[in-house]
Amino acid sequence: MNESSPSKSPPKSENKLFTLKKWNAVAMWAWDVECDTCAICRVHLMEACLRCQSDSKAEDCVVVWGECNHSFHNCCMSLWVKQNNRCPLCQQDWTVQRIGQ
Amino acid sequence: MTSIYALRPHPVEFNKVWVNIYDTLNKILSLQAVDRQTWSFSFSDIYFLCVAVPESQCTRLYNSVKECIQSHVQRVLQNLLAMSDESLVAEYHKRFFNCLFSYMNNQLMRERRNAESQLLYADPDDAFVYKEIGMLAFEIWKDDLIVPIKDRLVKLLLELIEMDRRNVDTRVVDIRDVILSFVAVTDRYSSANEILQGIQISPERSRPLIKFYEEIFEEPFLQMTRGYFQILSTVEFADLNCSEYMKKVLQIKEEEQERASRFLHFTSREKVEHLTSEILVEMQKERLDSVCRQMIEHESLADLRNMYYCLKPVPNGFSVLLNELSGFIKSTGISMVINANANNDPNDFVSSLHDCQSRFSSIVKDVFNNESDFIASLDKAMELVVNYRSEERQISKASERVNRFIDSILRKSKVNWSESEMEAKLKMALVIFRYIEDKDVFEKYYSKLFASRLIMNNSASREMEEQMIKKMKEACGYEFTNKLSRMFTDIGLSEELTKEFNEHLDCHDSKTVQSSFLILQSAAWPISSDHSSEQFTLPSELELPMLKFDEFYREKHHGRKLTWINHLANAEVRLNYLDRSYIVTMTVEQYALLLNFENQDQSTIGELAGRSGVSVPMLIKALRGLVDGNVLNCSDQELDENSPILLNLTLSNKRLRFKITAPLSQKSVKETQRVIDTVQQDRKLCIECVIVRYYFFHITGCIEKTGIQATSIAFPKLENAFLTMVVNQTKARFLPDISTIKQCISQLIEKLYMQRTDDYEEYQYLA
Repeated sequence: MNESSPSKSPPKSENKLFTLKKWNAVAMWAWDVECDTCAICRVHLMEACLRCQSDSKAEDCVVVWGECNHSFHNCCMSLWVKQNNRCPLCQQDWTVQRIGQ
Repeated sequence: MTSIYALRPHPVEFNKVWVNIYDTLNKILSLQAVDRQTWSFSFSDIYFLCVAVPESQCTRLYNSVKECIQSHVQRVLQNLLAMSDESLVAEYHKRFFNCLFSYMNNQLMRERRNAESQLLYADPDDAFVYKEIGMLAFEIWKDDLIVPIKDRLVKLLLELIEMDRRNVDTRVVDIRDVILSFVAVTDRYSSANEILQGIQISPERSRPLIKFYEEIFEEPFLQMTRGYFQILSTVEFADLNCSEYMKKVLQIKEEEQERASRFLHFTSREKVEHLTSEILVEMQKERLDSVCRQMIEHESLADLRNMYYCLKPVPNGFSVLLNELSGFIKSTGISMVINANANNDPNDFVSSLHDCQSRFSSIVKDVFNNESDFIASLDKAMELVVNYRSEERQISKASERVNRFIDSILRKSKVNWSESEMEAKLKMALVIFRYIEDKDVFEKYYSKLFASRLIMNNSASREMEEQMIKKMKEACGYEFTNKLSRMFTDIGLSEELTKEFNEHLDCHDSKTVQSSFLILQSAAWPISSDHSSEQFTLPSELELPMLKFDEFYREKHHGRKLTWINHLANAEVRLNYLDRSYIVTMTVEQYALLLNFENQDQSTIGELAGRSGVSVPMLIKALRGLVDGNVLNCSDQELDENSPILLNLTLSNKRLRFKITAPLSQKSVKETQRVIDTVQQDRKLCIECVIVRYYFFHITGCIEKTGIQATSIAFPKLENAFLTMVVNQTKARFLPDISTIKQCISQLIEKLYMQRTDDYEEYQYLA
């Protein structure tokens, strides 16, 4: 980068005392959820579920949202619905709204 | 056809044939020549005797042969008894070999055949047990010759060995052969030749075969040797000091081993070795034990090596030596730690401990042959040294020290380490790392410093960072480095994301200021998103890129939300009002402050606080860097609400690009305390997790077994087995104490995970 050479600066910024050349932003992401623990495995949703942790597949463990807006680990939920097709939190029928990515 | 006819059994008159056979047999026994024809005749005579009709003559033949050999042996015995002591051994040797041994070898083939035919024709109901003729001959030799003269013979042999010990020349071959003849007469598997050549068979097989040898010779021999050793240790070596004594012992031991293999059956060597250690070492052990501390302290390596070899065969012989060694390592190491503590220099800490470790591990390797007990005791001592704490219950400083050391190497600095230098230094740190008990504390520090290197783009080498994580993963497993590698991945992903975002902007032709984005996964990084409730009002020019990026990100990753961490964001700002155009890197918050001077050169802190919407103390922290970097001027030493702040219009710096230090959020002492606090918190969570998982596991087990969904499960109060389970599950990261576990249980009860009953604590599973 050669922003340091003064001749190249655009004329507009000449009037201003300070010009922002570049900024480096930092942000954190988290799943957009109401409750941040998975009610099925009781692990924080930002962490992989227990099964994935022990299988070292943490990268692929995502979150799933139902129509009821409750969210769980996708892996935990897919095991749960085999037994009982209701949301473990509100007992409504379970329909997937979206899956995290 | 004729030969078959000729071989047909026919009646034979025993006495007539026996005369011929007797003649041949005697010739063989006294080693006279037997011509080929006579040999063949004898052979066929024997054959016909065995297959004779109407009944086989082999019993008679067998008895006659036995008698014949017996009388021969009697003659030899009479001969030997007449001998003087001096020539007895030699004569025995001669006789044994001249007669029996050659006889055996020459006749083996024939006797075998003979025996075969005997077995074939022997009446199975006959109570008489036939022996092979070869064995029979040996038996007769043993019973009729060796037994009568054994006392004399053995005494003579022992005297000869005694002479050999005194370095008097003896005819070694005789001794060995005579001794081994005691084995040869009973060992029916190996030929006498094999025994003499020292061919070994497995001890299990040879045990019954050498019983005779053990009884008549080995026992008196060991008895005598024991006496010899006792005299050595109590009389001859009594005046030696320990170092010389050990040298002598090893020398004697080697001599005796060599002597044993020269004279004795191979099974005796071990017994002699055992005897040496028993008399010369074990009985003197207290004396040896008493000097080993001194030897360790003076690092008399040669003496220690001798001691190692002396004590090795003694059962449990190393106990005192091991104790002294680990004690010495401990005291040496701890004094180093105390020294390093006084200097508070992480470099000093790591390098001195590393020296200590490598010094003793090379001793263990060179002197103690890397014996597992010694390695274990070194490791144990080093563990104590590394985790040394002056007060109980204090968390050891090792994690912090080692981490500061690693950070000093991996962080970009004025010192440019070469790659190999860096590697060597990191290797040192890893050696110490392995001994650290509280790996969770270590991880906390590591992730903190690692995060700061990554976010500030301050890391000296990505490759090294990656390697370091890999090494720690090898040592501590996937779980330990899981978060660290996720942090590393986030950096790579963010770079891609920034690139994609910039391309996306180009496509949509929307111009914003040049931006880069670090998007961190919230669980992996040691940064809390709600770090401060106070937020600077950000410069308006940043709002657009933030908005655009948010949009872009939501599009790309469904279901995620972003939280901006502005106190970590930085800005490169060009100052246009000076004689040269400087580019200054500062935090975004500092940039926001600086923008206040766009239209005025002077302000007070109070005014600035009002405009930026943050409290005065926070503002002062941010201003400090700008004032120290000479971008702003303030005449007051201590900044307060009324301090006037001026824009420095005469700033000059050697560099066109420079950096303003970010406000230090906490003093390091506070930081340490915070790390310890979070670690304590995490430990409790971890223990709770282990407990809950334990019950979850048992309840699922219940459902699977019975099909009934149990809602609660009872367990006895704090059983030992239960505590051990908790300790086992967590010990890779830390050692929990009982009181903490109890605390965790009561917390779980508070949170209504569990409830207490009269005799049991009961866990209520809540769906």
